[in-house]
Amino acid sequence: MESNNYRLDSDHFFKKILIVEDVTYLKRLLKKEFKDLGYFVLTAQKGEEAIKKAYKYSPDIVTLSHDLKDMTIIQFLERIKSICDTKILFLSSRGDKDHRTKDCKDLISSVISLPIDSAELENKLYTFLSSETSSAK
Amino acid sequence: MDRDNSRYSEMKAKYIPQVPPLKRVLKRSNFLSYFFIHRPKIVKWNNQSDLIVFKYLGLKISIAEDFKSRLDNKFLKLLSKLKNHIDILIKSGWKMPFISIYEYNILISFKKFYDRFYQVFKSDELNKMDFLSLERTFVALTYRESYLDTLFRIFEKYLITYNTLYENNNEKYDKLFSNLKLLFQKSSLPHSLRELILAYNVTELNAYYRWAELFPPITSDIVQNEWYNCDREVFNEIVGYYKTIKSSLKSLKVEKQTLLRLQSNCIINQSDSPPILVKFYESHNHNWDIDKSNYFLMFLLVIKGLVTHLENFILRKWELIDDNENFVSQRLITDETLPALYRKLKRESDMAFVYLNEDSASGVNIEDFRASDNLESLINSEQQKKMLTSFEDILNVIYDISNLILSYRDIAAESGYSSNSYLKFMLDSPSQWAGKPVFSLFNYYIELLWTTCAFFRHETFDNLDERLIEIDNETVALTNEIERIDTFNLIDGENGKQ
Repeated sequence: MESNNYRLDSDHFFKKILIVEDVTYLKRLLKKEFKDLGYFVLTAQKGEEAIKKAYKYSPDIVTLSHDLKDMTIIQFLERIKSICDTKILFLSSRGDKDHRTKDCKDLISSVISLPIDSAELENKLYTFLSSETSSAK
Repeated sequence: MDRDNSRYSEMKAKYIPQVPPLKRVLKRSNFLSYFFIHRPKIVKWNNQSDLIVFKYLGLKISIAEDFKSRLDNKFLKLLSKLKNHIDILIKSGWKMPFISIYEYNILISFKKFYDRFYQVFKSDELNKMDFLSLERTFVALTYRESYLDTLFRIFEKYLITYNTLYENNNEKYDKLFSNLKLLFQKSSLPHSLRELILAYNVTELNAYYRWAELFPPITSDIVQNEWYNCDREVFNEIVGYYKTIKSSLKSLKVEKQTLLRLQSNCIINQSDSPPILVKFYESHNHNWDIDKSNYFLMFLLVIKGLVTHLENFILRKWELIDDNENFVSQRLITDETLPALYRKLKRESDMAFVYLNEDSASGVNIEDFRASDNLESLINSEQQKKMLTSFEDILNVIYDISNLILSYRDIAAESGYSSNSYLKFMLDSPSQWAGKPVFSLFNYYIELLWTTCAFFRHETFDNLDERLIEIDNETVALTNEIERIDTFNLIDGENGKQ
């Protein structure tokens, strides 16, 4: 057991998050929140751009907050999920009651209410990562 | 040195308390008391000891003038035979594993007694201060029977262990010790030192007192066990030795951590086909299973692949993305040590290829190579011997490169996410590395190089398990040694300052 402490692992503390957002102020706000929490942040304005980045960089988490201009939410989620094993965080001012998530509940890992509560966000992310770690075990 | 000197004085004052007064303060009795009370007792006692001379019809007493010769012949020669041994024990006894702090301090008591004894019995006249000093050291040394038992046990162990004279002189030394015991005996034999001290006190006090009346028992132990009652020179040696052990323990800890890292990151399983190495090998269009039959060729092909990879890793610019999503192109290694080592590897590898031909590269199966206890027995030609030597040099360079990459990695890991350049960037290309931190690249090469060393039997990896056991044993032995010479953690523990 002692020897496990000596593994040269790195990925467990390097987490990437892809923010899909075309509203500049919201994108900036989210970027700051996630960077403060230690994430490496990537951003995309449209669905296609996000899918390309997901394909190349395999983000651990993708956030989405509203309808995309170039595809529907469900199309986007299905394509993303077929590319990489990522967690989807849906940000909505209506929280769990947002009708847009009704048909794709299985694809969304969690819904976060807007405006963002930093503590709630941190807790959610912690839960994601913990479940990821324990499932990896 | 000044600090050590002041530390010596400080510890001496704190942990080596003065021996408490062992003798009762008694007044010299007046003539009437002497003549009517003590004189009859003195006469009776002197019938056996014969150390007191009565003058003027018994009105005055003095100690027999020949008292020295009575003891001199018996014990001075005896003690002189021990002189060299005592000096060695006082100077170096603290190093001997069978001597504790307490036992060393008993030796010091003996040494003090020995010096006073010599002083008194070598001088022509009886000096009062010298005799009182001898008396004090004698009383201190015989205060508990266990002191003398311990003393003789130390001498015996010392003589047996160091084989100085004891080996062929058991009888001689047994006789020496049994005679020496007579010097300290409690029974009232005529010419024991104990009787002489009593006689001296009779003449000084003009009265007769029994031993217990002169030297009343006390409950405390007058030999202490916390710190060596040594001189400054020995103190400096002890502290120097302690520092050397501490430094060795530190080195062993670092070595163990290094070996545990090696063990954890390059596990060579029973199949003898480490996945990271197989994947790397086959990525260069070679076939691992086929090439396994040719150790020399496989080694050179692995090294060739590593040279190409390391050139890219160390010397070329990498496409990165920073934490603001800006694309940058830069070298990952900015100092010149690693490129220099890489060039050395390339040179060594080019030289090794010179030896490669059809004859030299055949005949040794990789499984035989890995299982062999004697690699030279597998060699068929002088050419192969040269190759083997060359491979050892190559593996040494690879090991050095891996350790240097590891040190870059560790420095970056210790400095944290926000401040180090290896974590602030993500790799953008080539595609198999895109999305990974620069860290991953470092880890990959460390693991690949270690696995190469382990698979091709670099000596560090070949003896890894044995060395780990050795390190544990050495650590236990050194810790015990620290515990022995500094049982109460006084040198730099919470009770002391160093």
